[in-house]
Amino acid sequence: MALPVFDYLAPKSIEEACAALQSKPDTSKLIAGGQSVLRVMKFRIMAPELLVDVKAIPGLRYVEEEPDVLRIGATATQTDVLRSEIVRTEFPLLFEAISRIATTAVRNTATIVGNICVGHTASDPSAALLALDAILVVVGTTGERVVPISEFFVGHMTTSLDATELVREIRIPRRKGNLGMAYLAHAGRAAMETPLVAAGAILSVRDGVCTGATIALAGADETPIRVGRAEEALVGTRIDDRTILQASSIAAEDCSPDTDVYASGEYRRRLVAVYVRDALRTAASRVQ
Amino acid sequence: MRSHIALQINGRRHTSEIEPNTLLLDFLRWEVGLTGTKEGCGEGVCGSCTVDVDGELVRSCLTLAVQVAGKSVTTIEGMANGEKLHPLQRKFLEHGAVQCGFCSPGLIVTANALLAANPNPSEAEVRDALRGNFCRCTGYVKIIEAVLAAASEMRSNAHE
Amino acid sequence: MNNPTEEFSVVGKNVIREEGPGKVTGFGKYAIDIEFPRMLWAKVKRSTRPHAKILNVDISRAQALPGVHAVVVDKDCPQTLFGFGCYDEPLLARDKVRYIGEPVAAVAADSEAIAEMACDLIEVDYEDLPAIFDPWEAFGANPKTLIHENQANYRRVPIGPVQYDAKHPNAFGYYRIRTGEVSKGFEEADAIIEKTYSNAMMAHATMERHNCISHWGADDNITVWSSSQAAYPLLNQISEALDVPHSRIRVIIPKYVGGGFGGKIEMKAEGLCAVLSRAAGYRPIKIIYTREESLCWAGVQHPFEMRIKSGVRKDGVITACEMFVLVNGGAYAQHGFLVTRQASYGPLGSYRFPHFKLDNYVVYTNNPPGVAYRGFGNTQIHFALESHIDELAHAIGMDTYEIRRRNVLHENEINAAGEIQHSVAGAELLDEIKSGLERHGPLERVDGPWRRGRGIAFANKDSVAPSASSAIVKIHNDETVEIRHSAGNIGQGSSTTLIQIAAEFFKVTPERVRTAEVDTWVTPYDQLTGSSRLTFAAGNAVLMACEDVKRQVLKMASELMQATPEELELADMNVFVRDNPARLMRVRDLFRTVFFTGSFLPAGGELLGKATFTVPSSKIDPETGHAANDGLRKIFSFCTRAAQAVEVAVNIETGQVKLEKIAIANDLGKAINPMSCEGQMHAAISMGLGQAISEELQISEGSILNGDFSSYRFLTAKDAPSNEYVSTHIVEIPQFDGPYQAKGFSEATTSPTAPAIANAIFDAVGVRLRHMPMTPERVLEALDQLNTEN
Repeated sequence: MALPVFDYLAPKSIEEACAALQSKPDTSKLIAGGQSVLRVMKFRIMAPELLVDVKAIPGLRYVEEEPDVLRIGATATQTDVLRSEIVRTEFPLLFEAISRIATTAVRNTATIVGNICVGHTASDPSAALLALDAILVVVGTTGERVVPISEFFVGHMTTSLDATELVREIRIPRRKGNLGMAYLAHAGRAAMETPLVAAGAILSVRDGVCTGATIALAGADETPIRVGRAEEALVGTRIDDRTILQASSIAAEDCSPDTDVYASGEYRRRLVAVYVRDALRTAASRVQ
Repeated sequence: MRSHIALQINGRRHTSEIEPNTLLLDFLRWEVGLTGTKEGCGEGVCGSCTVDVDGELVRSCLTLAVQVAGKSVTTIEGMANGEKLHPLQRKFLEHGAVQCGFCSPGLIVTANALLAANPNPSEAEVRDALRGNFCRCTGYVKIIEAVLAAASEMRSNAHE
Repeated sequence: MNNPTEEFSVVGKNVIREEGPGKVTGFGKYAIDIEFPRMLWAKVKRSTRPHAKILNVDISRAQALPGVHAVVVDKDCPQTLFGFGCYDEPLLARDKVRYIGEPVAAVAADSEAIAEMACDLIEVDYEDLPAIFDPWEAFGANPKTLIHENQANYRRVPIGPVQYDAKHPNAFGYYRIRTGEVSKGFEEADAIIEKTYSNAMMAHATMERHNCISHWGADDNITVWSSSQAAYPLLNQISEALDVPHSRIRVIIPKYVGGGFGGKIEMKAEGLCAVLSRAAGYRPIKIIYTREESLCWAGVQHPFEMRIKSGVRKDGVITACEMFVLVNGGAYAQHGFLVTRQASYGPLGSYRFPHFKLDNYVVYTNNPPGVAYRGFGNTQIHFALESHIDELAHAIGMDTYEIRRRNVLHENEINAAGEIQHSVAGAELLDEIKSGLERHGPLERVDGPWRRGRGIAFANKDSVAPSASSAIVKIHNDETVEIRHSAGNIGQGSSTTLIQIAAEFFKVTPERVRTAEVDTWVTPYDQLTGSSRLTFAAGNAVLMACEDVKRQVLKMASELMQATPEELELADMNVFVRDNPARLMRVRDLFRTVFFTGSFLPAGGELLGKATFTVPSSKIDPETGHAANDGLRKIFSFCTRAAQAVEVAVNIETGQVKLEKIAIANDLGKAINPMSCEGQMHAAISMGLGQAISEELQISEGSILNGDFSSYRFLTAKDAPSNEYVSTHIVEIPQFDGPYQAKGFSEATTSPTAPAIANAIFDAVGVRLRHMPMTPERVLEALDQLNTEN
């Protein structure tokens, strides 16, 4: 499959990248790994005149831990994130989510930032980062702003990112206390498919009582979502099968999944109940 | 807007003038003439186009040729040591892991990266590493056998 | 022809395949890899409407695009129709389009990207016509539209009953079988079951997409390099479509073809690219179908609707079976009629039916055309029949192995179509799969979401007759052997099979035998790579050609050795006196330098054996489908049988089905290359499993929604069970007229999988899925229904 004709620019700085985007705001497109953009260009779903490739910008490829936060740079590949010891040990939810993306050959090129910027609901990292209350550092020609990921996804394949902006960094707050987290996804085959539904869950427990609950879903609505009512139903309760089942049925009620070629909305809704339950069970079993 | 690129392919230096929309896959196949790298789906799913760039696997169908400027690319044609087949290539033959063969280059390149990272993989690890390499003919049984057999041979060769 | 008790030195050995090194090194050239100087790239402009009149095609903007060398529409093509037994298809849509994806125009340009841009610039004005997608709607006497108005006048190959019936004006093929009196059989039954089974549309999904290069030479000869699996049928279709005689067409199929599965038999763009080649000034034209084109518009598997009513006695004996089958053929006939005919005989190769009645129609709809697909209709039929057999067993409370044992055919039995059965594996296969699965211990039923169950299925596949295959075998002066044959090796390993057959004959190592590239100007006629026929038909042809060249060798040697040819024998390229083996000469010594022209035969010529193997068939009564009682009683070349036993896990919350364990048994006469045979058998866990649980071209109003590998659920290495739980059982029941008593079997490897899984799902969770694929949503729907009923 041939790509359409376009110009290509590999800027050496963020400023240069933003300026290039601003020179053609309607017909330019940013790529990092390009694994989504090049694919849709082949299908002629998108035909930008200019591709701005940020991979050559120095200093953006990192996965770094600080006392309170894990920082992931714009050009850090999914493989980079998987290789990070802290991700494996402290953020198993993120590790599990990224592990199931495509395969190594794709993850070696694809970035986490690029994946979330596509804005698709069936995105493993989006749901994981939503569960982890990630914060995005967004850069534009007028400067930097900070966007909580809960405000990032605004519609089907749409984010709050302006056409001339880029996400410079993802910040994931490090959590303290007794908690457990898990990520479970369901697809139509054992690999090489985005999730029909995925659930990321984090439970904090003190003295046997749930002090904090987070449930994020992929594929359950127009965008990746949090299911607040289900989270609230858990806080203050003892985590057991009754409360878990209650929360998972609230999640299934509160989501609004679409029908597409991969699955019907109704099927997805049923998966939500099953996968929220199982993610909560796994998270609960991991509380330490 | 053609650009000039220089890169290593299977240990040899190549220079070329290319258009931005030239995919690494098409560059290898039609500019360099290395047609061992195959295109199955064109969208990064089937794995037939997998090549090694600086020690990391990539999908050449979703990689622009300009993006590999200055890098070192290894394709299936670079796997054998002269006339001597790579153990993976030989085991694929001996175990009947090759049928139509169209997926074989991508599989062998991918399995090679697996064995470099994990010389003693379990069957489950081999299946996971090959999950993005589609094969229509074999049902994967003999492919898995061949990779495990090559791993075993490469381990014993390494100890010698 | 040969002694079954003989010890073989090459046959039965795991010889590494001839073309293997080219495949693992990447140096082997598939058609997709070929490039020529001055070559142009083609793209096809396809219909966006399922059924519409073409009012106008404006190609002016495409022609004006720099880099475009030719744009053609129907009027630029010969005004012919091509087909495969029913001649109904133009190269480019003529006057109207009949499916979304039908070629309307074609472009040749400097690059694929330019050709694609040019296609986007072609404007087609349509006037929509009513469209039919449902086969039942198409089948009626007064359908809302006629897809081929002129069908009554189409040229057809006369086989079986009359194919066109004005009472079903959209039906283009019909077959029937009549045996006994089914009403009588139903009277004798203790239980009668009547159910309808069906399947979705599936893609071949060959890894190498359809592609070719066509070159209309300035000498008016046409050369085509193609990824086809059928050189001579392709040659013939190009000839018919272009109205050019065979003699001016040369088809070359490289030694490397990336899969076929029936999807590469009919002509794809070879004829069209030849038209573009001439239009572009006799330049070679290359086309590579996109994955979407290859999955959707290069032919798909036919969806079947199969109503089966059977009666069974308490002792498990089937008393009668009545079937009505409706095949959704899509917009053009292609292989539809032959698939219909073949599928009609499917049940009769498995079981004994004292009374049997079958009517099988194939109809035109505005869906993409169906073509041959591994199993040739048998996969669908056996899904229905084997599910049905389990339903019969449950109705009378009988074990599912036992009911099959009671009804499977025996050696030399005459089946319900009057055909005598040879090399029949029945109980042998069932025993193999039973022990194969049971060696892992008994089924352990567990609670929780994942429920386990086991199921089995049996299947068979007849191979086409009449059938013919020719071979040329040449012995070179270095005593190596060259086989010239047109059996395309599409991955199944046929060239190595032929090499082993010849190597065994000459008692040489297989390294000393090679095959020539398929080239219709060099390699002789073969019917096709299809119908699992090559080992049998091509194998026999090669053996006969080996005998022919051996006769020449012995005759030539006899003059030098002062012995009669009858006294001589040939082995390992030594000619020796049978009664005194010390008196010998080497074959290479027959090549003696004459003057200074090198090492050739003194009298000139070559050591070149030639032979043609033909399989006749009996006359078949079009009213009953029965073989005449002519002493031959033959409808097909041979029949291969297969059985599989599976254990599945079914998730009652998500509907997912996982294949946990499988035992695969095939009857193949004699395994020429066991390793290769096993490889074919393992297709059960890729293609067979995909067909059972995941693979479906989803179609809505004629438009396929998932024509790519992201959404077409081709299964991965992680979907298959662990190797520990795959057992592979080769069963050798000698085929008396096969080469070394071998026969083909590969098509039957995928047919039992889906019904075995359907039966295992029933065993696990008590729901009967009668539509394949049995996707999670369908399983869940059935479970919901069961829960509502309880």
